[in-house]
Amino acid sequence: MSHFLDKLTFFTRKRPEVFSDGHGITTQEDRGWERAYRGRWAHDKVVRSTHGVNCTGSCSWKIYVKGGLVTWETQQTDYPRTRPDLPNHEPRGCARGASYSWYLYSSARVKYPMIRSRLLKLWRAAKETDNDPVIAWGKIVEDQEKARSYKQIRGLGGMVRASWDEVNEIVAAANIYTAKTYGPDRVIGFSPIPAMSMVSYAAGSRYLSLIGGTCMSFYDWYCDLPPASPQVWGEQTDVPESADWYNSSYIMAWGSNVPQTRTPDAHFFTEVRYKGTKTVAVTPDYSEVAKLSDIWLNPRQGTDAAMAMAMGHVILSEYHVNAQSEYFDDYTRLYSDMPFLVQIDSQDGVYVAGRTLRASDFEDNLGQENNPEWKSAVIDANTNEVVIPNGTIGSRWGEDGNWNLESKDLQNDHEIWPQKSLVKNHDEVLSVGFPYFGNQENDQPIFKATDHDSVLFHNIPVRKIKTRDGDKYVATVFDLMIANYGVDNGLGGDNTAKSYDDDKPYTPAWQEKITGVPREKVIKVAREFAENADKTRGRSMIIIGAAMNHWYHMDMNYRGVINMLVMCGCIGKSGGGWAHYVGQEKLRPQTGWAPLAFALDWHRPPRHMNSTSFFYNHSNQWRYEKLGVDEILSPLADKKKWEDYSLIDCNVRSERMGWLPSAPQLEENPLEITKKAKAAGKPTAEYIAGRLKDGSLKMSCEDPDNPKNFPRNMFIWRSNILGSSGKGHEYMLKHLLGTQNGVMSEDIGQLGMQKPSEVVWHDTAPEGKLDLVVTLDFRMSTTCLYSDIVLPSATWYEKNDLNTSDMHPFIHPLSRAVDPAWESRSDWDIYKGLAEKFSELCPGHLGEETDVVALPILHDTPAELGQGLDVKEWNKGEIDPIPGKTMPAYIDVVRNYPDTYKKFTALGPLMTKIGNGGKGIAWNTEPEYKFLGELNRVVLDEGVSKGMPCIETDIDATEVILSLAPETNGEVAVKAWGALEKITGRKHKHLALPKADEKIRFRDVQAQPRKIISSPTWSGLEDEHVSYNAGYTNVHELIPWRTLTGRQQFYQDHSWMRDFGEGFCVYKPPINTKTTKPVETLKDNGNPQIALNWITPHQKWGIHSTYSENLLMQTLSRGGPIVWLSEVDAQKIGVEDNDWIELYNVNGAIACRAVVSQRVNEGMCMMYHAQEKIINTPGAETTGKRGGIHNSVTRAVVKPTHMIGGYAQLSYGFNYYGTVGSNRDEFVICRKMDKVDWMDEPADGVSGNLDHEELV
Amino acid sequence: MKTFKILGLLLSYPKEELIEHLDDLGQVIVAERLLPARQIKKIVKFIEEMKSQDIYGLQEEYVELFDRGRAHCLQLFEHIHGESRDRGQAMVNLAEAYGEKGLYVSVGELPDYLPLFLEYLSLCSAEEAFEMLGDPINVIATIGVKLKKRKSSYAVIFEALESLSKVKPDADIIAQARIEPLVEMSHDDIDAEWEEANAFDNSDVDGADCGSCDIFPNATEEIKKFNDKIMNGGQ
Repeated sequence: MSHFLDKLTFFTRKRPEVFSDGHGITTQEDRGWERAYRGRWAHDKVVRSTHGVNCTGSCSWKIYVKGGLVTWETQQTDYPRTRPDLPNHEPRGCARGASYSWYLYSSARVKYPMIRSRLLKLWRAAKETDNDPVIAWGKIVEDQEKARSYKQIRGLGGMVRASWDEVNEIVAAANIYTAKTYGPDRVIGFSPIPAMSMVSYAAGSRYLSLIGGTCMSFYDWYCDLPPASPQVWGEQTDVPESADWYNSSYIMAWGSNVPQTRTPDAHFFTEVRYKGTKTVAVTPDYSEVAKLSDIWLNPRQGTDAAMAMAMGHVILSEYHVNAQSEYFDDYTRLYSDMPFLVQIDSQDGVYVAGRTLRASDFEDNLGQENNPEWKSAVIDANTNEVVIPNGTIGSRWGEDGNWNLESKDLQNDHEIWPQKSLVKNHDEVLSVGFPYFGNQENDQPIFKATDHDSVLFHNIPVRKIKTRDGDKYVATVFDLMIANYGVDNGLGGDNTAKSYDDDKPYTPAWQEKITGVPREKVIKVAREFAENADKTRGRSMIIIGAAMNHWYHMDMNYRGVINMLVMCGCIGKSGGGWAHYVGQEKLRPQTGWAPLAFALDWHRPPRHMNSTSFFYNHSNQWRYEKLGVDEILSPLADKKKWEDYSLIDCNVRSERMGWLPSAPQLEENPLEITKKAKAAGKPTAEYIAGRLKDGSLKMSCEDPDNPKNFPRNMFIWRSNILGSSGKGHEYMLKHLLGTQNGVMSEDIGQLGMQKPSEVVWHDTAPEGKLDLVVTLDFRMSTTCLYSDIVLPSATWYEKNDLNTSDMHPFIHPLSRAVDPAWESRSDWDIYKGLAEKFSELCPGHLGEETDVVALPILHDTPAELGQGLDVKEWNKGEIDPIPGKTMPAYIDVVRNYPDTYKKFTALGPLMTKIGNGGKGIAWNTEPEYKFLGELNRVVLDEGVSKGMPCIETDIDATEVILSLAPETNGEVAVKAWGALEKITGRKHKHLALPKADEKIRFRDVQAQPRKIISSPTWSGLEDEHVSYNAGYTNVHELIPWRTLTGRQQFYQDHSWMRDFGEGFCVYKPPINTKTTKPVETLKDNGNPQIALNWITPHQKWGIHSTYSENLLMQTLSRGGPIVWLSEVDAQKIGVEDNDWIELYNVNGAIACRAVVSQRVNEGMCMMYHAQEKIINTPGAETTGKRGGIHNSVTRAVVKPTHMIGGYAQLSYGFNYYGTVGSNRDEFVICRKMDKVDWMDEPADGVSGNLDHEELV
Repeated sequence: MKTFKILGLLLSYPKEELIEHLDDLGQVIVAERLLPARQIKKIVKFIEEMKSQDIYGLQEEYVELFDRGRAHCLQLFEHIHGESRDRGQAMVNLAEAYGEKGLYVSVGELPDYLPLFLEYLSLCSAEEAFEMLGDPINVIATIGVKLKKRKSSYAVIFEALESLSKVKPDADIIAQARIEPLVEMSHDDIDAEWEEANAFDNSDVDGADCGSCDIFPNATEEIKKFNDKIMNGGQ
C-alpha cells in the first residue's frame, strides 16, 4: 500500500539524458513518421549529367534515379575550387535546365521511329516489286508523281511508327542510291555546336565523312560567328571565362543580356561590383542587364558602330594624340598593326589607302627569300629604315623560328622599335580620301542619316619609298586610322574635329543624331573605360552579345568595339578583353575530337560546306534578292568592276577561286569523274581544272536549279533548324522541302530585275529538292514535323557524352542515368546502326570507289598564302586555274563503301601514319593510339579494322577524344607546345610540363568536372594563377596572332575589303531589305498597321527552342508565341496587351499575341527567337496558312566581304570564316488580327488538320 | 477479366499482330459479358470498323491522337502531374504497386501507360479491378469526352471503361471537359494546377503512432489523387 503511495505516479526522478549542452535530448518515442520524408528523398543512385542544349551553361546536375526512372534533379556543388579571393563557380543552372527531367516522360517526347505513312506505303510497295532496297528507293524518287505525293505534305502530319530495321533500311538505301546516282556530296547533314554533346555530333559527322557526305557549318549560319574576330585576330572566337569578369574593374555589357542569357555565370558580374567595378549596359531596350548595371546607354538598335566610333574618337584624342598613355603606346606598337605601312594609291586623281607594303615591293625583297609577298613592313624608329619585323604570316610558313612577336628585324635579328606615326617625320602631307556611309538614307525613318560627304578627305603624313614599281607613298595604319576617326593629328583639315561638339564624323556630337545617345554620356563612358585600362594595364572588358552581330554590317559594330579594346591594351590581359559568348561554346578538346568527328583516322580531307552560302544558294533565297551590290559598295570603289555582279555571283566567284567551300561540288558525280580522269590518263585535279577551264564541266553552284545539282538527302540531328536557325524559313519550306509555305515575294525574274551573270536562270524554280529529310530528336520539334523520318534519340540523361563551354574551364560528362526510354537510342547507336545497314546494302551498288573532294583554301595551312597582292580569276582568264592556289584543291579519296561500319567502329590507321594536330601545329600520336588499343581493346574480327582500337560504345568514343587531345592529356599538351616551339623559336613547354602526367578519363569527369590543360589550340592559359583569357599567350608568350601582319589588325587591306569600304572601321547604317512596301496594301484587314524593325533576341523561357514548349516554361511565359511592342506603337495601331497580332512581309507571316511593354523602344518589335509553331499558333490572315516562326519573315542576305579567301586570316575554315545569316535589318508590318482561325476544327467539326487525299 | 486487357490492347498501337487478332478479341469480350450489352455492341462495332480500315490510316490516326500532345496522352500522369517533378515519384510508386503483385514492367513503357495499367487490372481480382479503375476514372472520362468531341471512334473504349468503374466520374469535371476543352484556363486555374503539394501534410501523424506509414507512401494513395478535383481541373 505504502509502496503504491510512495511510487511516483506522474513523475520520474530519472532526468532525461541530454547532450550538446542541453540542446539535444534522448527520448523513446516512435520515429516511424520520419520515414515519410526519408522515403520521399530516397533514391537508388545519383548520376552526374548536364543539359546538352545549345547553351554556354555546361552546368553540373545531380540526376536522381529510383526504380529505373528519373525522379528529380538538383544542382551539383562540387566544382573544383577557384583560388583564394575568387568566388567559386557554383551553383550553376537555371530555371530552364531545372525543368528538364520531366521532359523525359513528357508527351512531347518522340518515342518510336516515325515515318510519313505515304512514304512508307510507297516504300513497301516498291520493295514488293523489287526486293533490292536501293533500286526500290530509286523508283520512288525518280517518279515525279510519287516523289511529289509525300514531299508536298511535309509538315502536315500523317506520321506512323516504324521499326528500327525498316527505317534504317530506307535511310541507308536512300544514301546509297544518292551517292551512286548523283554523288555522295549530295548527302548533307546539319548539326550545331559539337561542344554541347561532342560524341553525339561526331556520330553523325563520322558517318557522313566516311561515306563522303557533306557536313554543314552552323556558327556562321545562325550568325553568331563574328567575322570581325577572324578579320582582326585570325581567330574564330576566343574569349575569357566568366570567372575573369571578377578580375575586371570596368565592364561593359554591350548587347549582351547577361542575367537572362548567361544565367549561371551572371553571379560573377554581380559579385565583382562589390569590389568597386563599374558596369555599363548598352542595349536599345530596357533589358534585364540594363537594370543590373550602373549606367545604361541605349543607342538605337543597329547603330552601335556609330557609338563605338565616337568612343574611339574620345579615346584616341585623349590617350593617343593629345596626351599619350605610355602603356597604350607600347601595347599598340608591339601587338597591333598600327605601325605597319600602307601604300597610298592614286585612283582617278584621289589618294586612297591601298594594301600594306610588302617585302616583295622592294628590288631586293628586303632580303627575304621565303614568302616575300606575305611580309608586311614597318619603319624602325631607331634607324629610320623600312624593315620586316618577326611574326608576319610570311614567317609562319616555310621557315622555322621567326614567327614570334619579338621586336626584331627579321633580316638581321636586330632589335627594332616600330614607328607608329609619321606626323613628325614625314616627307609629304597628302589629302587622302576615306569612304563615308553615314549619309545613306534608309527607307525606314527610324534610321537617321547625316549630310556629310561620301568621301572625306584628311591630311595624312606620308613617306616616299623606292619600290620595284617606282616611288610610292606610304603611311602608317595609325596615322590613317586617326584620320578616319576624325581626330586631328596636328595637320588640320576640313574633316577633323576641333572639339567633341563638332558635328563631324566620328565625334560624340555627330553620333547623337544616329544613335540618340547624349554626347556627354558617350564621352564619360569612353573616358572612364580608357582611364581604367590605362591605370590597370588593360582591365577593361566588353561582354558582347549576338544582338550586335545579327546586323548585315555586324563587322562594323564589332570592329568598333574591338578597336576600343585594342587601342586601350585590353586584349590578352586578365580582367580585360572581348567577351563574345554566343553560339560556339568552345569545344575544348578540339584536336582530339576532330579525327573522331570527321573520320580523319580513315580519310582526309572530309567534306565541309558553309551553310549560309549553301542555303542561300540551294533554298533559292538568292532568287528573291533585293539588295544590289552597288548599294553597299564604297563610294571610292571602281563601280565598273562590280556592275555585272549580284550577291550570288560574288559567292559563285568565291567558290570558283577556292575561297569558300563548294558542295554539292560539280555537275557530275565525283565517283564518276575520277573514273573519267583515269580513262583520260590524268590526275583528277588536273582533269577537273582542264574541264572547268574549257567549260565542259560546271560547278554545282553555277546552276543550282538543275536537278543534277540538287542536294538530295539531309540529316538533321541535335538541331531544330526549321524551328530555330533557319533564316528564310518559308523559302526553305518552298524550295528545299516543296511543301506549304508563306512566301509572298515575287522573284527577281517576275520583278524584272537584273538576273545574275554567273548563275544559270530558270524561269521556274524547283520545289522539293530534297528526296529525304531525316531528323534525330527526343522531342517533336518543328523540324521533326517537316521531316520524312524522325528517329527517337536518347535524352541527356540517357546517353554518355562530353560537354564543354567557353564560360568555364571544366570538361563535363553527360551520363546514362537511365536506359533510353521507349525505343529511343543514343545518337552514337543510331548512326552506328545506320552504318551497319549501309555497309550491308552496298554490295552490288557501291564497292571500292574513288571520290574526289573539293577543298577550299584553308586557314592555318600553308595554302592560306593564296593571292597576296591582287585578286585574279582563272575564269576570266586573268590567271591559270591552279588547284589549291587559284581554285579549290581536288583531292582523291578512296572509300571502300562496304567497310563503312568497320571503319565507323575502329580508330583508323591515319592517326599513326600522318599524326594529329590543329591550327597549323602537328604532332605524332603513336603513343596515344597504342594506349587506346589497350584501354578500349582492339578489334578482333577479320577485316580492314583488325587490330585497331575499338570505338564500339559512346564511352569508347569519349576516351578517343580525351586521349588524343592536349587539353585532356598532359603528355600530348607538352608535345603540342613542343611542336609550336619549332615554329616560334621560343620556349612554351613550361606551360604544360607541370601537368604532363595528368590524363583525364571519362569516369574522372563523372566523378567531378575537371579543369582542362593549357594547349596551343587556344590563346589563353588554364592556370592556377590567372583565369582563362583570350590572347593571353599572344601577349605574354609572344605568339603571333594568325593574321597577315601577325598582329591585331585595325586595317583590312584585301581589295574586296577596300572596295566595300571596310579597310578601316566605319559606321554603316542598316541595309534596305525592301520587304514591306510590296505587301503593304495587298492584304488589308481593315486594321491600322505599322512597319517595325524586327529584333529577335535570345529568350527567357527556353534555350533556343528547347524547353520552350514544356508546360513549366509556357506557364512562366504566355503559353504560346509572343511579340513585344512599345506602348507608343501599340497605341498607334490600337493593340492592347495580349491581343492577337499578325506580323508579315514578303518573306512570310507570323501570328501571335502582343506583349505591350515600356521596355521596348518605339519603332522596333521583339520576338524572342525560336518560339516554335507547334503550340498555340493560329493561321495568319495574309498567307492563309498557319503562322510561322521568327524566321518566317527573314531571308538570308550574304555579304561579299565574307566571301574573301586565300588571304591569311581571311581564309576559309569550318565555322571560322564565311558568309553569315544576318537578319536584324528586317522590317515587318504589324497589325491587330481580325479573326483568329485555329485551322484545326473544320466547319463540319470533323477531326484532323486536313484531308490528305484532298491534297493529291 | 480479359476485357480489361482487351480494352488496353485496342488502345495500343494498331500493329498488324493486333489487327490479325481482332476477331478473337471481340469474341472474348462478348463471351465474358463484363461490359453492359450496349457497350459490348459498340466495341464490336469499333472492332469491325478497325478491321475494315487501311492499317496506315489507323496508324496515322493513332499517332495523331495519342503519340503527339497532351490532350489524349495515354500516360495517365501526364494529365495529373504533367512535367512537374512529382511525376517521377508517382510512377515509382505505381511500379512498386505492380511489384507487390509480382508484376514488373518489361517493355520500354512507363508504368502509367493506360493499356499497361489495364493489363494489370486484368490480373487483379474483379473486386480490386473495379475498385482501382475508379481511381483514374476522371482522367479516363475526360479523354473520352475529348475524343468524342473529335468524333473519334476510340471514344467508345473510354465509355466502356467508364461503365466498368465502380466510381462514376465527377460530373463537374466531365461537364467542363464537354463544354470548354479549348477555352483557356484562367491564371488562377493554372496556378492551382501547378501548385506544388506539401512534401507531406502530416495528416497521417495525427495519432500518437503512425503505424500506417510504409517506407514509401502507398501507391494506391497516388492513384487516389486521380480523384483530386483541383488536380483534374485542367487538361
